[in-house]
Amino acid sequence: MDLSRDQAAESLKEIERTQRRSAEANEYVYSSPQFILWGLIWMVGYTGSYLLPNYGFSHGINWLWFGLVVIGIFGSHVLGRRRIRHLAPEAVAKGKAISIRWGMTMFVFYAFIIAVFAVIRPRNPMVSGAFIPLLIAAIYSVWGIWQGLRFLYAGIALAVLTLGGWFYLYPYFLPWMAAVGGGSLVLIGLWLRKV
Amino acid sequence: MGELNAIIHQPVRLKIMSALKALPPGEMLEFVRLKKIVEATEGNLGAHIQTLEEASYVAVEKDFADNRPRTRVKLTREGRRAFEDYVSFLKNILEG
Repeated sequence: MDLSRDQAAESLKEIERTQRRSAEANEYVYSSPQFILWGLIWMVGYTGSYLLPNYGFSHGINWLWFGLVVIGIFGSHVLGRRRIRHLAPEAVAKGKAISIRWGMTMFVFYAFIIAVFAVIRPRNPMVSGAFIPLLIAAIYSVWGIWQGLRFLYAGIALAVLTLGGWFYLYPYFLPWMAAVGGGSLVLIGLWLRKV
Repeated sequence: MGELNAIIHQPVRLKIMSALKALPPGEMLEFVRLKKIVEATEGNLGAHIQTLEEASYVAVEKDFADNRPRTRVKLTREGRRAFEDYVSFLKNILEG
């Protein structure tokens, strides 16, 4: 069978389209439960910070968030291991290594945040309640530029909601972030699952 | 220049192979998700997967997950090589 240049070009385009769809869908499906988990953690964390200010964003150690982050990292690790069930037996060892690397990445991320605040020591402890979502929004956005536009939209939405709450609803910033910040993460997780 | 691989060149099978090639090596794709990506009907997809399986390009695994039957498909080593050869063939045509 002979193939023209146009037919060959069209087949290559189709390959590229399908590979992009497949890779993006794969990322979305595995990211969905992570968004939902962290959305719920944010809801509990920001609500708790509002109701129990001494344990939330306060000077000193934020025990509430410390506990929640430990739960979150453990939960993320468990969810990450679910992906291993989709691997062929010969790829399981590599999958486990990747899962451990993700766990270590999250650990480094939170160690970085703790180190930054130890150095900066903001006068207003609420700053950390806005800084972390903005940092995460930036990470989602960059991830989205490379791995799928839905992550970019998620990052932009998170940044806009955080800045909106900070500048226009400051007295209600914590409940705002619980409902809208955490809620949007849960909704984004459900949206990704629909792919 | 080699010959056109007629098994892969069929449009639905080309999408199946492309979708599987986009995954990390060894990762399997559930039939229901593959159906959405390829945008094929269940019967049509099943028939094309069978053709690819007979050519040893894909492997199919059936098991139970959460008490539900699950069918998963993955690219074999032969399939990965055949697909790469097919893409090279197309690129050679373009380069003239």
